Amino acid sequence: MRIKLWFAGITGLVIGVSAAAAQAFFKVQPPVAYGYCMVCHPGTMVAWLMNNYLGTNFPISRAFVLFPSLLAVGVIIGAVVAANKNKEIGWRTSPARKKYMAVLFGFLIANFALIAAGCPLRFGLLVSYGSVSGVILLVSLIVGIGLASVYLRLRKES
Amino acid sequence: MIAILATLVIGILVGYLGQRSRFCSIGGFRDYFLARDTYLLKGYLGVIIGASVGFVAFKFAGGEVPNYPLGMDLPPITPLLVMIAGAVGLGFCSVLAGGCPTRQHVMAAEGKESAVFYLVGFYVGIVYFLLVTSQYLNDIISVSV
Repeated sequence: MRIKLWFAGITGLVIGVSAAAAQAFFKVQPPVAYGYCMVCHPGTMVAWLMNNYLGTNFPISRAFVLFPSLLAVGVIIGAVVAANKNKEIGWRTSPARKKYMAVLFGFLIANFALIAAGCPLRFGLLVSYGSVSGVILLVSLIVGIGLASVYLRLRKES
Repeated sequence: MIAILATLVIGILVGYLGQRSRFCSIGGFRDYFLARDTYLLKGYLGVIIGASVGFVAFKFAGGEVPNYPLGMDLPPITPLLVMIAGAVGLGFCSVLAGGCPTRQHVMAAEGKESAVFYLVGFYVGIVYFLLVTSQYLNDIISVSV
């Protein structure tokens, strides 16, 4: 079916529209273009939990002062339902080195993304919001992806 | 409360569609660079198009879309350079990790062990950022001013 060729595109459209609606009608702001971010929202959730259970005082978006963002929880729930429905759920083990590298990459990516103030999708939302800094961050992200792609190609050839 | 419910519903929707479509923002550019494959790139472009149309339409519909368009919202040079370095590092490491944070959450939900370990490092990294990295950033920014 030809529509499957565009399925990722449709997913992207849904993300974009729902993120815009989240800000416009469901008070997921400030800051602006904050309707979807897979680093900022988990970061807010962790900060909220630490503030409320460990007595810290990390800054939290006004939208999530009373209750934490549940975006990451929702993504996992949705993915479990989809994978289960299509019989694609099941524990798949990995080699030890790959697991340790995954921990390291997760750690680094969380820090890099929070330093850049967003995930790749938030950069896209900022670009949609007409933000020049969003464009600069997106270009920087693409540069990083390009460098890694070159590294992978060179590693494959050697 | 409404914001929290909105994020939960959006998360469930994105998680479901993302698992079915293999959506990955990093993968879009990576696959294009390596194999000229545009399937995932269409997904990222869809985000930008959907959000662009959404913000304009919802602003006209009376939604809260303040300061739109943001325009020249550049921070001072030192924080900007730090953010650029973060974005480059994010892109580089995400390719080597095998996907964007959304994709990793989806793969972990499917039961992929390496993605679960990625999330362990990811959330530990968030805690580290809150406790340590953010303090260094504040020092760098305050020295530069």
